[in-house]
Amino acid sequence: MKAYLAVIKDSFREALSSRVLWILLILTTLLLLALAPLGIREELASTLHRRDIRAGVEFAQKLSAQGTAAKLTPGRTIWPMLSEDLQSDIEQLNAAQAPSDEDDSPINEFELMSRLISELNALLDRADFYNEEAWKGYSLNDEAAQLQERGIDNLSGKELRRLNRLALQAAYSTDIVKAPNSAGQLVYFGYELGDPLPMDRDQTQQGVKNVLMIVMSFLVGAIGVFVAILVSASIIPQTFEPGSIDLLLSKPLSRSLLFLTKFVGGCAFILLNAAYLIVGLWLYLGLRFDIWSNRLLLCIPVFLFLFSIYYSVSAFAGVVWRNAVVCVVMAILFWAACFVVGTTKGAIESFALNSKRFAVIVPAGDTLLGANKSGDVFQWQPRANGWRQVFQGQQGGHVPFGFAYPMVGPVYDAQADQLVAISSVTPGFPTFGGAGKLAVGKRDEDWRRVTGVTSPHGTQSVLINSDGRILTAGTSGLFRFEGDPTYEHKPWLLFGLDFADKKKVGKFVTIGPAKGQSWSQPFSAGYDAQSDTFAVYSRGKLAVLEHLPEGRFEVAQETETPEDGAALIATTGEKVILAAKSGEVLLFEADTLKQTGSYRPFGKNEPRLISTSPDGRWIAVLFHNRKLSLYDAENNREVDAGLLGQGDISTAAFNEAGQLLAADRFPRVTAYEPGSWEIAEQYEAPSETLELVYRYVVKPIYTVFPKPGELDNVVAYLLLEQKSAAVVGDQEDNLQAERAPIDIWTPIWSNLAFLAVMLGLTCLYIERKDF
Amino acid sequence: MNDDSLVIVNDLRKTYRDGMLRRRRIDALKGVSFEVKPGEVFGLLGPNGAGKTTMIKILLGIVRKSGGSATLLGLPAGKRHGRRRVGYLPENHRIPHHLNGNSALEYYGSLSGVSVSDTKARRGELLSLVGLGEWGKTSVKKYSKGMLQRLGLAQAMLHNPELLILDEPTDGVDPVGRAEIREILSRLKDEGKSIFLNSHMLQEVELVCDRVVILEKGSVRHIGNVEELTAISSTDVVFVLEGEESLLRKSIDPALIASWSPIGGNRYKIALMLNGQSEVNRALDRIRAAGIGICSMTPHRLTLEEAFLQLVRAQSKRGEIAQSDEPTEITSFGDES
Repeated sequence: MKAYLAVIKDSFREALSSRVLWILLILTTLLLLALAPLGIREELASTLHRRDIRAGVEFAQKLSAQGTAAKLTPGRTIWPMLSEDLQSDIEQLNAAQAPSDEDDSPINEFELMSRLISELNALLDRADFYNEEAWKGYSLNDEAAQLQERGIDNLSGKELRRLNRLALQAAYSTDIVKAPNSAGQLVYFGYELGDPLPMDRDQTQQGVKNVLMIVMSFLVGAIGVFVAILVSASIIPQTFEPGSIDLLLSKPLSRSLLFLTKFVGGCAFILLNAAYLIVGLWLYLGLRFDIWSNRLLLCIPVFLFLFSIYYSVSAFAGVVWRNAVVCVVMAILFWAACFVVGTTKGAIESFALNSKRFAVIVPAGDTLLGANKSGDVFQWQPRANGWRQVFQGQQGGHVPFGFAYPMVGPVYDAQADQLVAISSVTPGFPTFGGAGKLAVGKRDEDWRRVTGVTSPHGTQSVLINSDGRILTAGTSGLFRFEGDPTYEHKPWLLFGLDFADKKKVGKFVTIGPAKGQSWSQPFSAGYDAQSDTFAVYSRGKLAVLEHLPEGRFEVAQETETPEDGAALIATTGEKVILAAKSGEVLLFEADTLKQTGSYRPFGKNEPRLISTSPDGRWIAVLFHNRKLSLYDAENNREVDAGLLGQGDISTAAFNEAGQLLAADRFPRVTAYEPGSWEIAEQYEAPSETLELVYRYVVKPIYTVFPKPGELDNVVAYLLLEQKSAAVVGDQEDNLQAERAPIDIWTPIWSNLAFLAVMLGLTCLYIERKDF
Repeated sequence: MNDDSLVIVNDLRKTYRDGMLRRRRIDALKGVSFEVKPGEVFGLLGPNGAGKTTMIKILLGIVRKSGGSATLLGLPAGKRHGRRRVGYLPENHRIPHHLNGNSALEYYGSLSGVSVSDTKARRGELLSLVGLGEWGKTSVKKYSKGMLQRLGLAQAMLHNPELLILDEPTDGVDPVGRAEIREILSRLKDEGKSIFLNSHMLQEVELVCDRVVILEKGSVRHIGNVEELTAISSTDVVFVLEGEESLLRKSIDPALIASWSPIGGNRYKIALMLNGQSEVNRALDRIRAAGIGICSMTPHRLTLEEAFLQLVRAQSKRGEIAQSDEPTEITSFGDES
């Protein structure tokens, strides 16, 4: 054994004698020294950002209206402080606003909002911004009240800005998002860089980890591995060249073990470099950001593993051809082959097939509809054995590649025999958190989409109650639609103004929660039509809202949840089901909100959707690893139903008969009988050529091919501790949004298998070779 | 065959296969048999391509035999336990450039099972022995070829092996260094070490080897003591004769004269090629009968080099005439020399 340790020791001696190693270590030291003064200083959040304003135009209009009114309001105080140019442009915007021509407005809304935010930020420094008289009707939160009590003259500049910011959000609570408690100011050598970032401590740490992951993947995973391949390429050929191998093989050593220890020793170079950089970054994160993430140190073996995969190819070439150039060329060819296979699969999935997967299944009585990830809705055609696109309209259209589902819903309104959805105004931009439009399609009009009024901000669920009324839920509250949703507004324009009657368009009226109560992200709402109750989750708080006789919903029960991260919620009337981002599913009694059980079907995988059977017995939770879990609420146990396509399921729902419908492939919907989980029916059109090529050629090749590039997933998992990543940025708290599953085990196993095969083949060659 | 022989080779054969489909056969060894006894310095001789290096590599397990048998230190050739007791200096060996004299001995010592502390204790003495006492801390990058040979020899001796297998140990070493290496080998021989020596330097083989085996085209041409070998072709007799040149020329058969040189006065140094004792007697009778004075008569002994060349040339001539199925001459393939 000592002999083999001597080989490894010699490899380290060789690595340390390499000038390239010392150059890289010096460069790493310089990088760490350059990073050392960079930090984020936590301070009171007061800066207003663009994303803090929910609907800019409406907020500007409100300011303008209050500013020109006689009544003393916050707007009346703020408006005169704005520049005349800005005032005039906002007034012009008011004049130009009409439902029909908002896209043709001569005012550049984006630029206008930027100016408004910039001026408001400047005003936040003013001591006369907050006027107690003007704010009389608005209640300041505890923090603002405390600041106010101390007296404006006694506040520091930052505290004054904070008070003004809190006052602004109190006055415009529906328009302006609450400021986080703290913000992160980027500082370098004590100098502030840019505006403070609206991030609390956790978000800052998460952001730092995200940046770190990119830096490490690039510096170590790409550049480091490539340099190591170049540097180590000559080690094996030199060992096996005549004169050198004769001497080694004359020693009492096993040929295979000699090669394997040389191989392990060849990893010394990358080990020294990666360890130095990562330990340096670990110390930097700990000392500057208080992120003592030991998992970061686990990235060292991961990068070592990544390098060893390429090196196994290089070493095999080195033994057979004994030429360093051939080793490098073979390693690069191997990388290129992996890249081509991975990219081909990824491109076909991302640009052609994924968008065809169903995001929503809509059982609609005797027929079945489904909406794919691009927002296209299809109805099953039994005779044609295929899907036909329906629910098409002018607005809320197709989103290419299905990166962001552009609707809330659709849901089926059985009483009116129609589809109801909230569709995004701007295709390609997710509805969640922004403004959408109510869209309805009646079956007798072949599901033609009719777009109506603007939906409340932040609508996350659209629901139909037992009376057939359309309800919505979101952070701005619960709303009921009043009016005829199928009415199509036809503008009658004169001088750019719409004189048509807008009363028939209908409107959303608020039905909850009670005044003084508000919800914030992360948010989720579930509704049970039979008991007419809502279950709402909002940042660590779980509430059940009951329907009061006067039509409003008020909180009947409320409790804190163990975690305050993102979660999904559903209710069966008797039970409330909460699927947390951590992967745990919690069950509560609806009446008391006492937790009655919990289960964790797929580890830390994040949930994507909850569906319950009409009788409330079966709970289906779909996770972002595309696996569906079934739970028997009657017997309190998980059910292994042996569903088809586990790992590929994109959505699920129960139909009125209690059958479970699960969609996989591109798409295939399978109906299962409840309890026996036998397949009742399948809905799948004949596959297209590309899909067949993907299924029978690309995917099998990808499966058996090593996946060194996907070890980035492991690094991402170690750093971010997430099992999936949002496809569209800024959607971390939205579990319904498209997320790419972070599969860490498949690349590990596949690469381990490849490494074993390569090393095994090389050992076999060495054992049989006459040197 | 003696059971206590360090090396026993019996009908050893090795066939290399070459070409894209590996259909071309090259017989490197064709039934070689010999043995090396304890305490013996044994020389392995032969022209390029005779199969000498293949023979050594088979003994060390670097190359696998195709047939026959070979044992090293009582174990089948190539066994790890056998290699543990052998010190090997390969021809044209390469020592990694990141090492210096001391660390190279440390490294190769560890591979041979010598602890680092033992190596540290011995390396000074060993390096001095091979003439590298001042060079232990110098990178091998700066070593000349001769210095690398000496370092190679030091690493081969480091673990105090029972048998030293040296492949061209004086290759690239200057005459002084060669003499030093010969001295080391003699000292090792005196210490009772066994040495298996493959060298082109026939003079040094002659000086240090007890026995030699001559390989040619994969077969044994001769095996035995160096004296026996040099005596095989010792048929020349050098006479110093005194008399008239015309008389001398009349009395001696011109066909027997190998060389003729006057050495002053009426004396001549004449070498005669005489085949056997009867021809010597006949020549002496004729010289005496003619009244020629015989000042001296010395049988001429060949050097090993001359004997080797005679033997190899004679075999080649015989081969050219008679052998149509002689083995292919190996000029170059793989590591074979």
